[in-house]
Amino acid sequence: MVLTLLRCALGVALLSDISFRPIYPKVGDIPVQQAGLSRMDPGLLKSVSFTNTITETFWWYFPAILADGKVSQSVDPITCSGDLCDSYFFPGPLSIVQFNPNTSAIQNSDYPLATAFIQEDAPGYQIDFSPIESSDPSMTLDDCQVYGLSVLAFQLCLKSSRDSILAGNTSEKSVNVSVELLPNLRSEKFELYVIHGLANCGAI
Amino acid sequence: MSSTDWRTAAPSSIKMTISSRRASSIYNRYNYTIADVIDFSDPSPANYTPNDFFGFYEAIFNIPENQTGFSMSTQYRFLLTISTFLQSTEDNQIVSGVGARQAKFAAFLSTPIAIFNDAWQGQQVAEGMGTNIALAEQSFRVPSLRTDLICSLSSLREPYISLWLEE
Repeated sequence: MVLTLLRCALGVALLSDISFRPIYPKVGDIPVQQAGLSRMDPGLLKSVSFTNTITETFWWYFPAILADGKVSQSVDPITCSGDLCDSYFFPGPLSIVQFNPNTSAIQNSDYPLATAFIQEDAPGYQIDFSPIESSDPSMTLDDCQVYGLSVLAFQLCLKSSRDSILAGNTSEKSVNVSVELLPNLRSEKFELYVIHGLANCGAI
Repeated sequence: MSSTDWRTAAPSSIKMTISSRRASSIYNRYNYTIADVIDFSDPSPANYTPNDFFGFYEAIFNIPENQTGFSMSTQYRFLLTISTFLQSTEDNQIVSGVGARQAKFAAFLSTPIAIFNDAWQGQQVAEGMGTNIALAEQSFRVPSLRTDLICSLSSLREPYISLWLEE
């Protein structure tokens, strides 16, 4: 009797297990010169060709950098948890892999059943985002940089805190050179659209 | 602006922790989207400092104010646009965990890490990069609870479990 009950219980447990796990058996290797993402390099700022296009490059990528499935992937966070914690991994897009120029291009006829590339054991960067906690040090204006002009300014504050960086931003816009604070965001935007002739087309 | 009152307000703030780690990333063969990331190594702190970021943002917002028509420059237009974009609260009406405004700010902070590096800029990186791309056939495995159960229960060495296994 006990054995029968045990077998019934085990039967239910076994039948209820229908989850799937993707696996990626390799069918071919392609040695490459380099793959993955390298460390952020402030030395790039010494290049005139880089600085000449840095604004356009940044503007092109930043609005969707966390939503672009070719660039980033949401992953389990390392340093935080809960609803207010987000984490993304940046392995580098496949388009920046440097293939060996002496090898022939990969054709669709090569391993036609293969549906995936695996970038094996390559460096990447993971970023955890979470709210600033009360135990974190306070930011002061000394931690901030202001960019812009007398009529339009954007303040970015960054402060190191153990292995993290605390960040904040605020901005100020005034169509006249004054310290007038505009009453609310909506009218402020409207005024800017009128003065600067911007199309009111919503988000970037 | 002669007042700095506005600077003391920080309507949007966030903490970011950047780690370096190796992994194997799976990309769709035909549209290059990342399907999965597996085999993570242990993370190590990336040790970036605020000045690493400030230099890039200084260049990004470097408005050529001495030039005629600077208000038509990309830098000025971008500053004008992003000031509004990052402050917008309209889509905070949607409950989305960290919030839409924080997500935009997170994207703003992530971008230099993702694109302002030698690998993205097409330069040769001295060492530590990946050296192999593999083609793979994606398939699916149903994790076997029976196998797991047998393995775990076998260690108990109870007579009735052994009896069941032998059947």
